[in-house]
Amino acid sequence: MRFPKSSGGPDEDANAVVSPASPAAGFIGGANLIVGGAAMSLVQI
Amino acid sequence: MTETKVALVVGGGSGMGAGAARKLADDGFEVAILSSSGKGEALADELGGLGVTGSNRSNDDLTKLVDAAVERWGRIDAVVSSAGHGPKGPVLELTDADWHDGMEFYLLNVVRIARLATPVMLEQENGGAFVNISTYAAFEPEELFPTSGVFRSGLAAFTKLFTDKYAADNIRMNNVLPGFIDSLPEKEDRRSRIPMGRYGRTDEVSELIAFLASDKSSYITGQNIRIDGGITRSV
Repeated sequence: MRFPKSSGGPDEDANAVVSPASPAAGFIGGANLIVGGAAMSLVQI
Repeated sequence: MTETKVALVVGGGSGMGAGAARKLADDGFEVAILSSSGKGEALADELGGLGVTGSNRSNDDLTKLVDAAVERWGRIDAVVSSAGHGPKGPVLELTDADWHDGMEFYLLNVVRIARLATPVMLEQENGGAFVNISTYAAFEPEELFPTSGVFRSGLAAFTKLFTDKYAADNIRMNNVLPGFIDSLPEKEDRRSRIPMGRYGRTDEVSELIAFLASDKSSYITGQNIRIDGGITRSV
């Protein structure tokens, strides 16, 4: 874990919650989505 | 949308690439499409955009696409990279040429357009977003798609390196990892493996691509997002 250059805003988290929760995300299941501004050093799956 | 947004779709003549182009146009993007078949030019005409018939293996053709978009609209906000279908076969029967071909299909297709479009995005206050169509087999490789799995896991590493360098410039890159999608004919043995019990639809993939291309995903970068109906098993 590193520290990104800037913090994310609550609205950015909210957008990342709303989109996978919508019917348009109907084929996404069991996925983990990091909203981190490239903070993680591992290759994320 | 208050200002013009511009998206390039490389490999946008058919399938998921074409679906992405349609969705982005619906969302208000101006679209520029590259395809080798000529279908991209036809689709671009339909969408009021610009089309280039050429190869994603050709820096000249890709430069033509980028230059034409910048000349017409003055900016590039999003780049979607779709790929064709690379070599398949038993893992030790693939030749050196097959493996090199796979690298062209699944890795260099992204590297080349990133080289050309990133400098344009660096000049923009809002940066830009790359979205690459990868595969569910990037992290759980299987014999059906050997070159795709090998080089798209490499694409994930490239994506991480890219985002390490350009995140601070507000230039993002993410990969979508589709499972079996209805852009290809359905096969029962494949459908039966999918926990959701069905193939995904091209429009579902387009929704995810459009989300990652938009400002709604402004803090998401370097990610590999599975859209596979639950077919992958890893946590």
